[in-house]
Amino acid sequence: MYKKHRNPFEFEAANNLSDDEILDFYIDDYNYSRFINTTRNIFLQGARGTGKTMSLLYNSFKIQYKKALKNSKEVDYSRIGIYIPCNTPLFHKKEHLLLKDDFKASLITEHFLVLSIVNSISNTLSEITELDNISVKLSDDLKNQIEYLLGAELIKSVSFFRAMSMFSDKESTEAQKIINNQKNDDFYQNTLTFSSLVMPFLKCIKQIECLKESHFLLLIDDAHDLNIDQKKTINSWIAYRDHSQFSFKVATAESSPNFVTSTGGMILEGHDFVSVDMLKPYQNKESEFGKLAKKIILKRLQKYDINESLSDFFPTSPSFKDDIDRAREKVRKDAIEKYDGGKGSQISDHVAKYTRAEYFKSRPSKANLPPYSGFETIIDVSTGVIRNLLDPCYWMYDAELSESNDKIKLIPHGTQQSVLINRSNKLWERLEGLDKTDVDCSKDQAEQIFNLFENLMVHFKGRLMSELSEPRTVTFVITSQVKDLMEKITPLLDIAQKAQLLYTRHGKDKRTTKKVTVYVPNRLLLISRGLDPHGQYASASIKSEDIVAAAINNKKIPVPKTSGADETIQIKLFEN
Amino acid sequence: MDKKGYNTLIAVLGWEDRFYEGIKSDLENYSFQRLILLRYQECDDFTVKSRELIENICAKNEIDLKYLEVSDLDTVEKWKVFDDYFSNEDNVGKNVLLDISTMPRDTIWSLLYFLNSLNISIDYIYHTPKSYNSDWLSKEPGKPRLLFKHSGISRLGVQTALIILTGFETERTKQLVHFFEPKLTYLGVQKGNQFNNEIRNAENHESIKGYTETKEFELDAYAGDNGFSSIKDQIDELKDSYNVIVASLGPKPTSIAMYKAFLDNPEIALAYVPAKEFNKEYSKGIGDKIFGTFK
Repeated sequence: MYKKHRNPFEFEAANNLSDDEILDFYIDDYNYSRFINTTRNIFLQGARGTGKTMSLLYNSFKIQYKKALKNSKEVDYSRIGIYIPCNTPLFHKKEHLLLKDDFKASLITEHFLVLSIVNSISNTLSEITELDNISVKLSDDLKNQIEYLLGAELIKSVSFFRAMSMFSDKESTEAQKIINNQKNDDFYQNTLTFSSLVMPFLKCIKQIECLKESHFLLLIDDAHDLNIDQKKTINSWIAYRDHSQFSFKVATAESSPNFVTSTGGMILEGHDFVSVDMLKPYQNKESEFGKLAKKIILKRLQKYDINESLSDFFPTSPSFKDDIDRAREKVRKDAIEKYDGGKGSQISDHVAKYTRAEYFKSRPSKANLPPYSGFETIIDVSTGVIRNLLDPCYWMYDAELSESNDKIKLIPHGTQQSVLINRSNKLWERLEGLDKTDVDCSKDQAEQIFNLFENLMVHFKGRLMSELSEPRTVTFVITSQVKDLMEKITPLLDIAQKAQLLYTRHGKDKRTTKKVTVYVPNRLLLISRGLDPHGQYASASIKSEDIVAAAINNKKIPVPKTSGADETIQIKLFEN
Repeated sequence: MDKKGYNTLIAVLGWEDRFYEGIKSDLENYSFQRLILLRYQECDDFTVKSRELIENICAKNEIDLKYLEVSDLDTVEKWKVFDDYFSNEDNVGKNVLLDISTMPRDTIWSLLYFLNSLNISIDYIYHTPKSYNSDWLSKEPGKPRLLFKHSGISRLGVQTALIILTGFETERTKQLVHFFEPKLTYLGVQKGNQFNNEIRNAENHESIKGYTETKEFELDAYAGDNGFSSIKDQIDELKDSYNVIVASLGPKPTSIAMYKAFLDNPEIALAYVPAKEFNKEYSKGIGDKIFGTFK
């Protein structure tokens, strides 16, 4: 019935994985853990599939507790991470919009948010044996305190945390029944707030000996699914100055999250919170995406008793290797001639820069698409997004599985090539009809986005065939920005980003040291256009007028004729 | 033989062949005092000809015609329009026939909600087309939504299961799964091989492969219960362990069956995917009719 875990590269939502699967699959990235475990408020920003949920779940106390037990290590109670999912039917309820009074609407939605937080804290701590088994006297004391504060009655026959879990669920159920059935603004009277429930609850919890010094990390996942009032409420809590007891780690797919508080103020980056860009896992050389990708895939293969190396499991086409060798030799000869033998690393630098370009350039114009294969290519097409890494691996494995019931020891290069081309074609199909599939994209916008990407591909191809100094560039920055033109471009780029056809990274222009936004088209798109997904650490500089002309008038984006100062911007993306 | 009589026929003003032909058939086969047409502002340009035809036929048959203007761009206002009009029995009478042929699913559910609370008699009729457009049916989808007052009772700390009665648009199946990220997805597929069902079912599976655990179940939208017993079985299987969201993308009569299942299980949520644009050539001709009694 279920196709459960027959494929090591399943990429279903992380919050649907079991605790053991999270422990098995997650590759701990020190940089994320470091941010999540600080007492500061953090916004984790990144598109779907960039690992936000996995990072939060892995750092939740539930998982850290199990990890400590598994490794026979002492449990660390100094940080208690509470995972709070927001992509649940409760947060998709919209009945509050029917209320005439906006204030009442905000109260009821805060009520749901607060109960969700208390329920998550209670469920997490009730699963910790030491906490669920606190003395009956302490448990009763804590219950009495909550009962006194809320005027509520907690169930007697279960532990404190189980009683609080049941209480929060019951309150939520009752509020939902009322809001589902009311015909007018008759309102649920007993709404709870962060200060009336969460804070006293945390205060109570800290009476438990091992939690006295604990800092609670409230890990809010999929915050983009919260309504505007709930977002403002969280921002107001973030603005709360005392971070000794709790802090928020808010994961969102929004590229421009709302930072307004309930009182109309703003929370400020650096002052109230720190942003972490999940699309930039390159804080230092040790955690660059390529290394992370290798660890992720190796761990998954090992979990399925496949103990091959990545180069053996995803072999590169021999013809590709041979052709690259030939291209390298030609480029080396040309370099020796050009530089008259060359000095220092002149020849090797030239070879490194131009070999792949020569390979793509020297292919006959009517040749089939290159034999895209090998794990490095799979990393390239992922564009630095974990789900994009798993997707082709999943389909390659699936293709092999459909051919044979034997244990799969490798994905032949032919299968890799056909899957990569197929997935690329599918992405182009989607790009051609964004108005059919994507939210809030009009027919005109869909056409313009398609034109833009087509013309970008033609531009990148033009560069690849040219003698420019950075021929393999597959990213761009927008230069000569004119306000009117940017107003036309920005909505298109936003839709493309939401559709994960385009990603952005922030970097610095090496020459001017100015901050720039680097636009990175999903590299899977390059495959069916015969381009090199490997790219180069440089971006094409394209004027805003050329972007508009490409999108709206379907005009080609000019390729500089010769190497010049304005053809590319050298971007420093990876700052220590 | 006397025609069965209703106080009111309610339909959504459409432009497909089956809209006018369907209403004409309804007027020939039943008697009505009034016809209420829900007039979606977004589709006004498509319905110029239909309005002329309908106004003529109503005049000829001495039937009161009322347009109720609504817009899908403002869901709150749309709900309030329905609430204002259909919460009053004087506006619809004791017997109502819903022609659901060109009615969006959320509108079917909303009308059932308001009319059901009046304790009046409700029948429904669905006119199938001869064929559907093979290119595309709808564009510019909005985010999936839970219908007001039908968003269920979500339990805290419980995972989500999604039941989708699949239809022609595999993109919508994918959209629902990507949006709600359910642990489990049950795909309801229409029995038989009409309208290339088998090919489409495979496409539906492929569109969500890897994102969720899936199970397929069969139902027959054209059976007497419009698939109710199959839907009920799936809900029964899931409701104790999951927060269940149900969505109908398949034949319209299943929306009625789904609503009946909701009434038996008010803890589940009814979801739909709105769209801003519909193909002017959505369908061609008129085929069989399906008649049923809701209450």
